[in-house]
Amino acid sequence: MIEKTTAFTIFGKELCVKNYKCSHNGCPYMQKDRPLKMQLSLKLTSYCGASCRFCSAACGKGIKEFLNLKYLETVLNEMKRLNAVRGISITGGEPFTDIGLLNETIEMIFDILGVWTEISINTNGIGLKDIHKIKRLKYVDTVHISRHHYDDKRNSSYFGIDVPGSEAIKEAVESVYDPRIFVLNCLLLADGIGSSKEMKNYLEWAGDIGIKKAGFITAMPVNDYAAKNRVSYKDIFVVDEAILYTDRFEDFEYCNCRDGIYASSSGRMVEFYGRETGYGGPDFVRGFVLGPDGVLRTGYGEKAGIVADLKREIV
Amino acid sequence: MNEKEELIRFVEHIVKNGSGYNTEKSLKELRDIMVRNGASAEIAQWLDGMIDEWARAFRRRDSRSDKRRQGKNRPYEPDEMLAIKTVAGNVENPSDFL
Repeated sequence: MIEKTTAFTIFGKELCVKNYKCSHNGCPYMQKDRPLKMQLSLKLTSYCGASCRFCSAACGKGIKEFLNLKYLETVLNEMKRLNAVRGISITGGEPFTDIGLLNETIEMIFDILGVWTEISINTNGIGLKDIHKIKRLKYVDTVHISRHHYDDKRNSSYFGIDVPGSEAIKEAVESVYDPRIFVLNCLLLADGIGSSKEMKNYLEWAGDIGIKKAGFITAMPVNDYAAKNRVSYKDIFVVDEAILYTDRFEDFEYCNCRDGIYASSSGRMVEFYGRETGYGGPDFVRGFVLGPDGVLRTGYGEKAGIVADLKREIV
Repeated sequence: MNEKEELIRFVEHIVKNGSGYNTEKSLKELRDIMVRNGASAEIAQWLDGMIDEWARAFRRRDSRSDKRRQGKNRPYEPDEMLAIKTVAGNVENPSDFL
């Protein structure tokens, strides 16, 4: 029997944190290795030029707040002391809004935690034109591009702005040393990619532009639109001769995911995954989020628990 | 179907739908993905074997069809023979052309 949670102290605060590894292919849950490692998410800015109807992030075109590097340094040093970093996701708002800050953030992470720290960056796509301005791009593990439809016009309509199209993504993929750095994130929606057939069309298109991996995410019902158009990846991941399902992971009722490989009609292999988060979140900590407001939280959103208010702790 | 049967079915699909050297590339890509994602040594070896076997079979088939295309085993047509002789008569080493 595993102990689902354990105590973990950070910034002098004792928290109840996740203490097990997700179930892999139906195997029993296993105790987490020591030292305990957790994901740190950095909301670089609250600004995002897009206005997606299904977006759950508290960001937009309004106030431009940016992450304070002094606060980041404090958090990284504390997590280094605890040897607690599993990986870092750089998100927002749109992290490419300030490429200088993005570079400084990456530099700081590597300086404090080392270049082998797993880093991923999420962009709505506008960052692609600046991809080579990232000085240490070679050491960044993945750049996740939100891409909700294979058709350029339909995709842009989801964002409410013009985001780079297929040609721009293809150029970016061809310009980097390893195309596997790019991963597409597609939100499954009934009025978009919401069926097995559309998923295959998406993967065909992804293969054609050189993409090696795509994720299909079940939308969180954050508002009426998202709830009405919500499609579960489980309903469209069906048996198909062009698909090989590989692994699946479960984290009790909190979330689950499933991996697969698609053989496109032109012979390209495209890895894909589906991910779904349950309605009720766990009552224990699975990771940390540092936002531009200088507060380290146990998750996204205002409701998440506060670990440390760095504005108060650093004078 | 178990994991290995699923993989066999998928490889068969790739081979059935592939064309030329693309299939070899596809199988190699599949092998890389599987290994990167922690496939067992047994699965990796089996895929290596499939790739080798397929590549050998394809090259054998390819070289036979090449010969057919180049017409190496058929006699020259009279006009081809004349052309060869004409060229050969104007160079120092006619055997280079024969």
